[in-house]
Amino acid sequence: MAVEGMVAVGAGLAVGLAGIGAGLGEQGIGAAAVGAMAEDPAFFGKGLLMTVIPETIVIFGLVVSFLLMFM
Amino acid sequence: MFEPVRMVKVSVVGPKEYLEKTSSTLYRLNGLHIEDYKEEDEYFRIGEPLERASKFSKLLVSVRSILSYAGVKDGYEPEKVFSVSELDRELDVNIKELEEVINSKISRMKEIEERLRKISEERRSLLPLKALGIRPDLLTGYRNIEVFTGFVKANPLEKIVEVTKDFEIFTAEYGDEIVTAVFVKKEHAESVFRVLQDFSFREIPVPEIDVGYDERLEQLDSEESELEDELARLKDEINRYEQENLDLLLALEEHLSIELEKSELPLRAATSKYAFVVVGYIPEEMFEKFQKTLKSETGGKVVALKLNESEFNPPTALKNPAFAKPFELLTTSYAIPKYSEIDPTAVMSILFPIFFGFMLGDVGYGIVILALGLWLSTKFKTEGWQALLKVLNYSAISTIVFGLAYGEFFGFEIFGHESMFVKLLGDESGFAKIFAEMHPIANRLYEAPMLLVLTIAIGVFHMAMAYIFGIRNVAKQHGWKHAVEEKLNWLMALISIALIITGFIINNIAGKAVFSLNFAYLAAVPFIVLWAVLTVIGEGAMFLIEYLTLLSNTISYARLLAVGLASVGFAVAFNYMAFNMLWPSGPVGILVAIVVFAIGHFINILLGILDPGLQSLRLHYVEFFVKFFEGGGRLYTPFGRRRKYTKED
Repeated sequence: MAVEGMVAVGAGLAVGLAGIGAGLGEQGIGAAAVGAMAEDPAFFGKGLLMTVIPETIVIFGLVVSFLLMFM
Repeated sequence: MFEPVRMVKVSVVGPKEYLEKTSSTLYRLNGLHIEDYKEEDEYFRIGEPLERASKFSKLLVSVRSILSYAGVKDGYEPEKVFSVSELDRELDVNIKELEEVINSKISRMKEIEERLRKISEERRSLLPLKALGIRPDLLTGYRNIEVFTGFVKANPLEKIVEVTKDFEIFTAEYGDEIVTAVFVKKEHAESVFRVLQDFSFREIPVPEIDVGYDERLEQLDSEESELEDELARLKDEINRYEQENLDLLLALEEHLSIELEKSELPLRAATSKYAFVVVGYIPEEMFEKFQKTLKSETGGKVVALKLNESEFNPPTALKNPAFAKPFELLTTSYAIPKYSEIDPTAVMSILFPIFFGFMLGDVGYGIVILALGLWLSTKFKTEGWQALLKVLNYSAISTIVFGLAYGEFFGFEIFGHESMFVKLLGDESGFAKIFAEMHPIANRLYEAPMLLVLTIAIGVFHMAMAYIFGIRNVAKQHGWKHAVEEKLNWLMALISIALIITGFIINNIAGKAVFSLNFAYLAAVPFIVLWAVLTVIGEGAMFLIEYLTLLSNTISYARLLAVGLASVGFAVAFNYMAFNMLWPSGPVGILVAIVVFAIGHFINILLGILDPGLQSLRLHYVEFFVKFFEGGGRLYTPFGRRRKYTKED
């Protein structure tokens, strides 16, 4: 297989796998945050903050894929 | 703009006889945030509410119960605004009548509803008994015989035979169940009942009536229709009454709540035998007027004084220019700023729409969202919705501006040789040529690496601003030493990260190895050393690991590009499906193409509101606020309110 093809697959995997990981991480936090918000709506800000913490990993994946594709 | 309203702590002191007068004046001034008095001692106790409080609260309950039938819409504007003296007259004369009329009607309605329920219950038991065909007077009133009437799931005859032979059973089918009446001697009643229970026996209460089933059912029908007519009439009357008197009722509700609040002021004050003290906070700019008004209205008997106590913990009244006001919703849903903190609303009001537009950036989508926002803001009138829709509208305008910069319209290119005008009008059209020769400021699909660098730069500046705010907050609360050790060090870290990324980019462009030394890497070294020293002194060596968090925060801003690229990707894909694959394949293809185009872009616009909105919010909440914003303030809620349905004389 051509190198460019492998690079594209690698870039896809970087984003895709990171996305799955972040999703798995966020499911528990999100459920708990919604629960806490049902108790006290003022929790919205902190709830959102905690829910999105694992998301950073996707951005890492994205940056890696960028480096692969463009540089 | 960046700070909450300056407050002063005041105490209002006067003789007890003036408490009522003071309460009215304070209420009208609508400026004093009262601190409830809690610690009772030998001289000062919590006051008793004024006598009229209980009368007002009773009236208020009945007015509210009447209003609960009316269902007032949000944003209802009264046709007539009542003055307070009018309402007082109304209260003396008409409220009794109003109460009696309405209460008697409401209680009659409840009676009728109860009776109607009974009727339908009786009918439910009469119908199956009628199917059984035994006269009602034959089903009750025996001395030695027990009668079980009810539903069973199958005929229990054979099982009852096993218990006793002295019995009589009648059964009939009713719907998909069986109605039965079992006559049995009292001494066997218990064992027969147990058998019946195995057949899931459900008793039917036998009504005491002395006429036949048909006649009774007719009686019930006619009674029911009469009652229903009366109920409808009563409902109509109450509705009509409410329609006619809605403004009055709303005015009464407001007036009574206000009077009640006023008469409960003593509960928040400290009172001695002859005097009272109310302590609270008031915006500095209001103080002079407040002091003067109080003095003139009480003939100098009640005085307001500034307190210079060490215990100074004022509430937060956010102060922002009109364009930033709607964004207070976003700030306060994270936390209410402390009095001593910077209020980030103004910054957010500029950067939130910019981030949103940077991500979505499409002229077509911007126009659709703006139209949607403007239309919705005529429908939803509550304060929260209005604020949210204003945020959406600002974001939509920013989306249009960025759309022009990117040259995108529903995923089509506006400028360049691929311009949609060229495709639509052909190469020769003069109009299309104008656009073909122009270039967008940045084409997202082709210039992604450049934009990626830009997003990181935006992030660095955004977070640098956060640390500068942080330095100011900490300096104000705990002094400069802490500010330098807790916030300035991280600003150094941020600068070093920015330099390292710059070095990385320089090497990349020059085609050198990633970590070959250049001036940017070298320039980062002193900042890293400074950061490390300050951090170890101020927070401890453990916190050095946080450098990685900051790095990930910085890279996190890449989402500004990523979300946008995903959105463009969708749009381009839908356009390709619709116009390159389906459109050329004949009339049916054209139809399907239109459907695919409409649905595709509809979904993409929905995602385009949700995702950039959420991501922009996240960048503010997680990357920005965390660095300086602690929150935990109390909102300023002055004693008083703005009247809507009533006016002062």
